[in-house]
Amino acid sequence: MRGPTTVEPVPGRTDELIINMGPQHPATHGVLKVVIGVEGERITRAVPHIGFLHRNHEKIEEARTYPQIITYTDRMDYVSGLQNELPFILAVEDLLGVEVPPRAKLIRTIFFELFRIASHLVWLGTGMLDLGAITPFLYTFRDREMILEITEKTAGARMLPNYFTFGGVRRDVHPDFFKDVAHFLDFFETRLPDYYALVLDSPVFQARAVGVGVLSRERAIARGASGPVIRASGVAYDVRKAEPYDAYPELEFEVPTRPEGDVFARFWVRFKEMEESVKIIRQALEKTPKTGPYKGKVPPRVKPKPGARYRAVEISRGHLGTYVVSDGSERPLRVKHRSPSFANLQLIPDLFVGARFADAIAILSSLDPVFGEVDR
Amino acid sequence: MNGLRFRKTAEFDEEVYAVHPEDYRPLLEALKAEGYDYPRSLSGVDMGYGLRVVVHLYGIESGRKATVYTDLPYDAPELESVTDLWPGLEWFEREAYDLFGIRFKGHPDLRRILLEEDWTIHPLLKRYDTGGYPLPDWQPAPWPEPAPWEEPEAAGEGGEA
Repeated sequence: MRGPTTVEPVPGRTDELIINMGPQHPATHGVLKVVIGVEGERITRAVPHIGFLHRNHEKIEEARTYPQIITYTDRMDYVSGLQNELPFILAVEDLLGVEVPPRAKLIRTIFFELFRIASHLVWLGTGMLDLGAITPFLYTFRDREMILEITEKTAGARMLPNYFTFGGVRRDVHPDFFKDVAHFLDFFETRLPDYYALVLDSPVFQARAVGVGVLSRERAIARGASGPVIRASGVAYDVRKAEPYDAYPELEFEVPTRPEGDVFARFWVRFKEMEESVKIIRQALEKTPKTGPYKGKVPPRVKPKPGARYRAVEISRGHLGTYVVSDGSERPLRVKHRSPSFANLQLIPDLFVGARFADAIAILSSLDPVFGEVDR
Repeated sequence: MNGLRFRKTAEFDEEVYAVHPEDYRPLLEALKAEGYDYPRSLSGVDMGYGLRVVVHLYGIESGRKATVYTDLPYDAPELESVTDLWPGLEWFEREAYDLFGIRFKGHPDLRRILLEEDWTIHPLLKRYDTGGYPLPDWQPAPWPEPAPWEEPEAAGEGGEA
């Protein structure tokens, strides 16, 4: 077992039971251990333990050249693989002073949003699985498969495509790309009402989600929460609007927020985000020329000037930032990944304590952590 | 921010503050009061001559970004914790302690976070290779020539904040 549990029984107190939830618990989305003290059904204490999937990407990346590192960034949040490449690439592009052609920016944006839908579909399926509903899982994975096939046709790989690169994307899109994406959007829009009916509008789901795990606006900001978690607490913080990157400045979309801050609000925000993503991709498809440059001029040996740069993007789970420190050589002095689930999981003591034990599962699935990215 | 030893520059779209380790916490307190309410990140960096702690801040209302960094010698990597200002940096400070051995005074629960409790080294230090073994010929680089800190009078222009 990993170290002292840090939750010691209180001497003489017999009504509190200490439970280890994880690291192999089926509803912890990977390898999270939470040591929970319960008094009847109420949680009195909760101490999260992470690090079971730690690979020390950051040390490995210091020993690799810049183009090699892109492959590693994919493997942080493997559910939304492609999105993880972008902050590192943006930071290095800033240090290199590389211009990205507008068409490449649009292609990146289309893929970025496709992966947001894919990731939210995985969240919806597994999240509902945690709550005891098996059917949504089967539907969402079928829809997600279409996105993975589109990615495979263009990039050659499904989940971890290693497709973005400095100055644009690695190769031009497949001739069928625009047709396939338009087909997927048409299909997906017919699916969304079903998901609303199955999940958000279901009284069984609402009974488990409304008013559960309430996170206040102030606490969300102070704890550095991001993504759907902070937006469900009434803060319209979205990196796509706050510091726009790629083609987002020229696209119109809304940032859905909800003031309640409970599990239902976090589910609702992700549903609306999928709708917004469809809108974004439709606009981007219209704007993207069928042919044209897909990569800007990049020196054959990537050696950024000495300096440091922090860039952030809004991946499916929130604010993913990468801090690159360059000493002018082919290898970075330091690469730091600030991952959204890592910060969001700090909320576990805030949200668990006082909740019922069965609600802990619902709260955790509404935070939607991916442990490849928490533990890096 | 009068009387604090720091240098302020602008890099890309951010304000970058280099600060003396002793004035690290007072400067961050002043920035918190200025409206930087959202903690973006805290990173440790091994510069080759010493350790650097970099804090990235953001103002939700103002949309402004700030980076604060301070350099520490290898033999005394100690800094005041700022987790009471931004509770969201709690795990980031633990991570910097875990991977670099930087000790944050006043942190409520400074334990290793990613590695097992029984690790004895801090693996992101440059003196270790990727396998965690000490590099036999590693030597710290000389401490760079210190640039002068801004005079308190010169810093007075931002004094109204």
